[in-house]
Amino acid sequence: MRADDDEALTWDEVSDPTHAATPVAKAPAPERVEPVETTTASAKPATSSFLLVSYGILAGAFLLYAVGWFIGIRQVVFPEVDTLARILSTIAQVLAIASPAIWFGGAFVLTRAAKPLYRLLLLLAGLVATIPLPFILLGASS
Amino acid sequence: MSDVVEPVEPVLEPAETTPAPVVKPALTPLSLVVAGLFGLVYAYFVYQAIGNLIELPKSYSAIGLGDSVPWLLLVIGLLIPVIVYVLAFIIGLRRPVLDKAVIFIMGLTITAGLGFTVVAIHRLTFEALAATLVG
Repeated sequence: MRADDDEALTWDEVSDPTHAATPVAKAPAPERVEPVETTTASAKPATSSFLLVSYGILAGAFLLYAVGWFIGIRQVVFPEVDTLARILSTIAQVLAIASPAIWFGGAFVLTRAAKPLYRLLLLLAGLVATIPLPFILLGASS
Repeated sequence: MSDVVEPVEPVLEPAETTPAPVVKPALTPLSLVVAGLFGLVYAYFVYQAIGNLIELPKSYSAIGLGDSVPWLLLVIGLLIPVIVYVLAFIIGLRRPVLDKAVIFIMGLTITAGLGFTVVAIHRLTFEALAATLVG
């Protein structure tokens, strides 16, 4: 409790690795720094570098999927004569192309209170669910 | 008639006041509105699949391929939006309304993608069929 109050009064985040270069950060006495470090670690753990790298790789994979949908969808779209049918067909195309991005964002929203493991599993499930099969089956040639 | 106590109220009250709510209300009015609105969009995909189910056999018959109608693909195309909607509804049943909406949107994109996948598979089978007729 007291450590939290002290933290609110100090602006130099000693425990923050991104602020390591700040010279003022070395100023506080060590006995005041110690409890701050433990409380921040237990209350709100920072995203580990392993997770950040994993998210980056998965984001790249989903981006490739989106490109696959964008290219592959031309093979399976028919010219619609009716205006309403054309609009609805466009919406369906946008949904399919956006499916990898929406899954990526949705996985973060749905697991915001869960462990990172569940987020990773949901993202991996998305790599199966949003695979651009029209592109894989038919390729890029028209 | 009017003095009948609504059953929803007593269920909602303890869930909000107790610090650790174990039983959440599954179907609030707002969640039903969300489910209904998304149901309309999913229904469009069902409507489209029914249209294919009616029109494609006609096209096949018109070119003398009435025996080769891909009924399985047509039925799968009809079942995809229905199954995805039911799954999204069940998965989101005990989750907050925001999560429900996100799950419905994710399901919608999957439905659209699978619909185009069915078209891709149909194109492959039709081209194979055409190849056997020509060759």
